[in-house]
Amino acid sequence: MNAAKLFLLPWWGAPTLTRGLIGGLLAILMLIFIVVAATGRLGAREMYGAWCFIDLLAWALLMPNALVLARDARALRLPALERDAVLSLIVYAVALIVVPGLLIPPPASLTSVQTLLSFALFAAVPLAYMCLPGYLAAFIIVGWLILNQLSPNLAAVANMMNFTVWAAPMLLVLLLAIAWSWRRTVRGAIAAASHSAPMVLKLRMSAWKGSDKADIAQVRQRPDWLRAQPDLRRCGPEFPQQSLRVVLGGLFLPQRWTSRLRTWLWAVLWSSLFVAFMMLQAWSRHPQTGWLWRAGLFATLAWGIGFGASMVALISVLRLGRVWQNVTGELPLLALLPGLGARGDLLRAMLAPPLYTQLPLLALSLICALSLHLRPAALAFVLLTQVGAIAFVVVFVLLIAGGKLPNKWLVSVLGCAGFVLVSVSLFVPTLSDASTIRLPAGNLADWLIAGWLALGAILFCLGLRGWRGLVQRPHPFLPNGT
Amino acid sequence: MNAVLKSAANDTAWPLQARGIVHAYEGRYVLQGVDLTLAPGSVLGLIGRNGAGKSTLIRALLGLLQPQAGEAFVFGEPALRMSDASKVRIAYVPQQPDALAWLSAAQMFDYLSRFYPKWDRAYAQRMLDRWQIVPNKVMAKLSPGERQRVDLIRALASQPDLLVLDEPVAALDPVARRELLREIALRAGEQGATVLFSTHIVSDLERVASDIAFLHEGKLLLHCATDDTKECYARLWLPADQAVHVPADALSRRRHDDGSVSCVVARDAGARWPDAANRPGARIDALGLEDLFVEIAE
Repeated sequence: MNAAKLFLLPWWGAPTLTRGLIGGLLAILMLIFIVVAATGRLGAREMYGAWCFIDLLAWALLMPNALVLARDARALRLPALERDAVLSLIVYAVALIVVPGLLIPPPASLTSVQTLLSFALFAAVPLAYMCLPGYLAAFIIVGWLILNQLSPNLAAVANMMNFTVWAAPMLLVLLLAIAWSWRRTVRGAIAAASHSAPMVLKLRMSAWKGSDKADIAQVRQRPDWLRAQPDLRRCGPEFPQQSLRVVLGGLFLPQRWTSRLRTWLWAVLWSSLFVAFMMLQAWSRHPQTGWLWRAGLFATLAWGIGFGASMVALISVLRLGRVWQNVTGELPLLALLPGLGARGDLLRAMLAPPLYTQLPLLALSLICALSLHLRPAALAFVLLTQVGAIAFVVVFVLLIAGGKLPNKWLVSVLGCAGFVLVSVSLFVPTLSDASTIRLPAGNLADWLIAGWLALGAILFCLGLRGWRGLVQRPHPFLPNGT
Repeated sequence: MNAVLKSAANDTAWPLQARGIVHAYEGRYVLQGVDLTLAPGSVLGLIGRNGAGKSTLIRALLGLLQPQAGEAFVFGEPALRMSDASKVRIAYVPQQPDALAWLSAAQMFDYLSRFYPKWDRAYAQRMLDRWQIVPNKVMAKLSPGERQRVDLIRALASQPDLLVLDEPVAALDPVARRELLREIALRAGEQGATVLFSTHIVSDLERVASDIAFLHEGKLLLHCATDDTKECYARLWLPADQAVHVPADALSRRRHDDGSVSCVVARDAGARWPDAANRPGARIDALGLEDLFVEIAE
């Protein structure tokens, strides 16, 4: 197999939609990186940081698909393909780690070897997270948090902690762990639905089945004590909204407070651990400057909340999309249950849970932004991400219920553009004051405003299209894509 | 028309009716002008090969799909704009039911019972016990067969006037299958419910269906009383020298290696076989339901 085909192999292992999303996202990021780097506006440190990010995304989203391909190749008795899947990783390692390591000038306090080593780590950590069994991947998150915490100041920290001394063994351990898990997964020792299955297999199961099957598998895997207990008290034709939410499931399922608290327990625990870790880390570095670590904490929280809001929007829309695609799932039930056919009730049931989830996030985001003493323009950008998430939910709810979902490529492009806008809108206002990015702030703000306006205009048109579709449909529970 | 009169009018309407339904997926036609009417109290078995369009037809009949042409009616109302009064009278079990996997069977029944005034709690409980389904186990953790049983209990407990089952026995063991068929016959015989079910299993049709409809390549080739199939349809075999006389309206035709032809033919309005049956060397073979199905579908 030639090098070009080896380059294509991880793409073959990815589901179509994911392929479009990953390809679009990486293409946009690389293009921005190359264009900006060519203008000479990026310093060595910014180039290094930007490449770490691209590296991370590529190895988290794309390369793990080679494992899926190798597993399938083994099952189909295609040893050459199985071998080529490994070779493709080596080719990508050369292209994304070695070559940039040689071309990108190392930041002031790092040597070339340390730069190369850090690129390798930014590849190995996400790959390990995706390829190791679920219970081990949790440790990778902790490891990643440590690395992420160190990364903004990696260049400065490197000399102090003798970066090479800890990074090289860490890389070796990660590679050995990946090799072990790779062998185990490819040989079919674990089922895709089991607890110990690598994240990449679980994600593929969700994506390829593309229906309620993934949700069913998720419910099946969850222990009983962590299972959502539905609140069925106010259900029936007299309570259409509550009844509709029971059938929509997922985030929409009405639950009692005790159940809701229990199901969010893990998220709260993990977030608390994360916050505690951040505080400890910052305090150990700057015990005398409390304001500095507080600022760092709030900036990270604002970031997390911004992305959290986007994730809530995305998860809600994906769930609804699956309901409206599965002809043997909830859709026939919704269509034939008496008393649930009113469009207004349906829209309220579809919109209320994700929007109510956004409200506390919006308040938290506001608190964080005010604690950071952000300038009004910066504050507006942070809040804009959540307004964008809300608009995204409203528009896609209309499109789904109206049976007017645009084709997958447009959705991919919109998703990529939205991700880039959210990232930049959150990243720049919270860190630009402290960073040395040479882009004139005014220009960047103009670009951001233009981007948000363009996205807003597209979303408005799509929303209108969805609304018209909903009005024209004989009833809103007709499946999409048939 | 006032509400009472309207309701009375709907009661006398056909439970299900399809007029010229056409539908295609990605340019491939799966239904090509299907007309079908279900008489009240009948048990119609819909039979056809995989991909013949059975599930699509059922979904179009119930307004779960908007056909590209044609129209379906449920109790006299357009299926796509059905009233709540009609919805209460219908129960539908899709092939491989996936709905409400996050609820237990008990929770599901509790939830659904509020929508159906005639919900039979005792029946639901009895059937759960009989089929040994743990009522508090979340549906996602049940086997496919158990989930199908829960969905069948759900459909039957609502005591519908119209019961539509899309391959209901696919995941059932023989004992449960027999029980279901008995229940269908009981509902139709004693309560006057109308039943439409699709299946591949011809013996099930013979056991309970009062009528059969055979869907082949998107067309309804045959629709008659089950008992009449042997009388009305047969295989006509013509020797090679008579092969050109195959009736134009034959339901199927197959040419053999020796040049002879066999085809499925129907009696005309006067209960006569086509003229070709009287040709020298021609032969009429009576067909069982399964042979008839194979002969047409092959």
